[in-house]
Amino acid sequence: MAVYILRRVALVPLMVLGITLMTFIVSHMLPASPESAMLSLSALSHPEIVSAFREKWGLDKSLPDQYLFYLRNLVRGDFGTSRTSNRPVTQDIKQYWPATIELATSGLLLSITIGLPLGVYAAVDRGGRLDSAIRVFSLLGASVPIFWLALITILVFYHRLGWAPGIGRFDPRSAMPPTVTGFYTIDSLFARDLGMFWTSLTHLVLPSSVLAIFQTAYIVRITRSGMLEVLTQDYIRTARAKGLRERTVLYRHALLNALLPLISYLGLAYGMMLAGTVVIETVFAWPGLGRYAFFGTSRLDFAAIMGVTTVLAIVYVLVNLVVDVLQAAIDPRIRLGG
Amino acid sequence: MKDAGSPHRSCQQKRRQIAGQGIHTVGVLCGILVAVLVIALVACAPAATPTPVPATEMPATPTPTVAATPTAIPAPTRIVIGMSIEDTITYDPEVAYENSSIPVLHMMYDTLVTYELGDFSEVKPSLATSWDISPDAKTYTFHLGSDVKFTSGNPLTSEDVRWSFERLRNIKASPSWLMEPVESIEIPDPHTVVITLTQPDVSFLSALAGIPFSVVDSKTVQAHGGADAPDADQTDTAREWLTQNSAGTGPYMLVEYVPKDHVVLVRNPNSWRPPGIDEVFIQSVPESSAQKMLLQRGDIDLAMDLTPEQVEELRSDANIVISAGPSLQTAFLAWTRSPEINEPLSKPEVGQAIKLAIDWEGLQALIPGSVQMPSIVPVEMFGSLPLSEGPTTDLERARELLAQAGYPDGFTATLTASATMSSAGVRVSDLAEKLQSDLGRVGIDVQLELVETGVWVEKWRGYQCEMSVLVFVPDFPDPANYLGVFNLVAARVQWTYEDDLLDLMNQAAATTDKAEREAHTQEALRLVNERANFVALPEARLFIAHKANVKGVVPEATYRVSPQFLTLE
Repeated sequence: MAVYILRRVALVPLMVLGITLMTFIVSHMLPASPESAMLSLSALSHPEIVSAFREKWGLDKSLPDQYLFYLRNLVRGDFGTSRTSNRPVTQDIKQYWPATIELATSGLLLSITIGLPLGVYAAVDRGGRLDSAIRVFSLLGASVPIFWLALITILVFYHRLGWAPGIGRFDPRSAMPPTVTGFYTIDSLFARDLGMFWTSLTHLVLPSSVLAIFQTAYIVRITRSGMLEVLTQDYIRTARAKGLRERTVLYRHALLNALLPLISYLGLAYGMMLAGTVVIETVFAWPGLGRYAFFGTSRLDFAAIMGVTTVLAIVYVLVNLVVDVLQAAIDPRIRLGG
Repeated sequence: MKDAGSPHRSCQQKRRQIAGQGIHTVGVLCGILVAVLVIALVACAPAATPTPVPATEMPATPTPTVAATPTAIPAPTRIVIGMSIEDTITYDPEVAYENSSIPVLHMMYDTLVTYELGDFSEVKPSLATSWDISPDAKTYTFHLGSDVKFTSGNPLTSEDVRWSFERLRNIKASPSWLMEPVESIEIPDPHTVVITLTQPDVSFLSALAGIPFSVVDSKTVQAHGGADAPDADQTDTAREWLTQNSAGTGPYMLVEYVPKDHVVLVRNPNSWRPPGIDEVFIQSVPESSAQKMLLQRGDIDLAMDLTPEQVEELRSDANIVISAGPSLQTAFLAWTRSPEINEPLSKPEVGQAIKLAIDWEGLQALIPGSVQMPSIVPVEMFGSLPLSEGPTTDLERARELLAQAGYPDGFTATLTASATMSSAGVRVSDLAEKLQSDLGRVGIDVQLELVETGVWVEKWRGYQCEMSVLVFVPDFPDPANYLGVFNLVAARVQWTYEDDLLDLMNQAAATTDKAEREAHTQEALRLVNERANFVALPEARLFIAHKANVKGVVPEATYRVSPQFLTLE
């Protein structure tokens, strides 16, 4: 297994090379130029401003030269400077990624906590009233436009009922925890301030719930279909025939086997949550990577786009590695590295 | 999931089996569900228990629970502003040129002269207490006030002014072209600045009121890598420092900027005109509907970016006051004059028909609170034409003109515009759709091509648009800026200003006599009205919604609001 993990990790640099090359090519194929995305119309009619801009950002070099220059810096751990923030991309990512990880992780945990039992129950109650209700819920969850859902959630739970804070990571009227990790929940614990911890936790409630609803829908469907498939297997009948308690049959024999497709989906879901939260981040004013990458894209900020893509890809690979290892641990038939 | 034949039956049997053990299973699962719910509720407890009031729920009285400066004995007053700072790139005043950075820079920096409280009819003193303009409108002499200090404690001198302006020119960023008219800057003594222009231009005074001409503390900025030499675009490294700190004379200074999250400004201890509120906290709220809800809940005191529709919804709220003022934001419809790009559009009669076919009243209704534009210059501004000279709707006449031009059955044209841009809360795409249906009434079949902003800019810059809708915010509020920039706009749609028009503009720029300048300007605007293959759509109104206890709110176009005039009750 160690060999397997090492081999997978060793593949990361190759993958980064591929990703940066693809991102570079795709972003340069757009029928738009960085200077017209960044400079005002009046400035664009002044050639000396345009050429100073191109020179400053290395756009006067040929495309292969630009890419090699980027790679050379990347080897030294330098993602370049973002045109949309005027600071190193590493610094930007360091600021934005705790917000995104905090949101995605709490969203994923919430969706597993809700989705897994619902999925199991729906499978057991197949065709029953509750099953139908759960299926309708999961269909709605997967098909409701997330922008609308986010706004409605703020409208109902923040605006009308006042149960949870509406937007942002923290309260604008109180002091923020001193930055240690960038994760507000963790930093406030470092600061030994339960009030701050509470504030940062409550700010997570609405955005992570919206994020979770979408994923819960999928988790329910995957758990349900996995369970249904497993429940028809012979060994379940054997287990029942042995006189095992239904709970043991369901959770030890059935669910454990049904988990395999779910776990591989969770790896994907986490990746989707990291990269696909732009809408939620915008509506909830959540200062995360999604918004950074989105604005970078709209301004053709290549360094930012490639930096975010690379970091997310690495996280994605690591998460999937964890998923593979977990699967091997659950299912002894899977042999890693074989 | 499809089951076929016998497996189906066995499956049903199994289901019956499970159902037989129903009570037991249901009980267990209910237990699990309850447990999950408990966990979920613990994780999001305030959603279920509204009793412990978190700080956000506090009524928004200006008594902050936590003081940012622990030494201050009376708790500092703080105003929380909800605003989109999404497009902010830097707070370097000589580089920044984005919609969202200008209001914030306005809190930190001063200019030699200024427009105050949304009055665009006259330039007022600021860092310069008085000035003289030579009769040929080429030499400007400014006299600086004494006792003005930067946040660092350094006194303001004429060298700071010279250094800032030279840096603006040489850093070659978006606003650098504003220095183009300047030939030289002399500083005969620490309180006098003499600016000489390459050619007469009375509108330069108005340009000087803009944020790019902010005066920075040259010693402090130099200590952080600032440069004013001709190679400043390569050597200046102060941008990063100036994005996190400020070095101005303005009422506030920047203490914290977390991109896309928040900005904290505190009172400048050396301010020569101290503000009424100690701290400004700008909470980034990209979505304007969220700004509206935050304001209604009292979590923010003032909302900067509400759309006219959202403002209407707030009218019934007794705790919220809406202040309105001119936005100077206007969208324009432009069409080509090149027969190669679109032959019918290039005919002057067709141009007249387009202006007559637009439903001007309907457009005004689409942009609530908007004001008709009598020419390319809004009615609030010096030199503007009276409203009565604005465009009118006359479909009969439009059809006649189209027939005269040889298109009694109309023609087809493509309108290219940004799918995401908006002008004062009204999406350009909505305007384009309205224009499409208006022009359709006289037989002009408009095909919409809504694209990503960058793609539109590229096509527009490449002189390739048949028709387009663009958004214009003046660089400085003077008709000379409109006439000058629209010379560039005209070029994109293949029109070049004729000599008589250019002569009028030069005459207006060269006279220091206000009445004479107004007459020349109006004459020039009439010529543009007559000839231009573009037309201004109604000017949007700027709305600032705020809590009733915030006093002194006057919407000010690009600055939006000046916090130095605000007080909390």
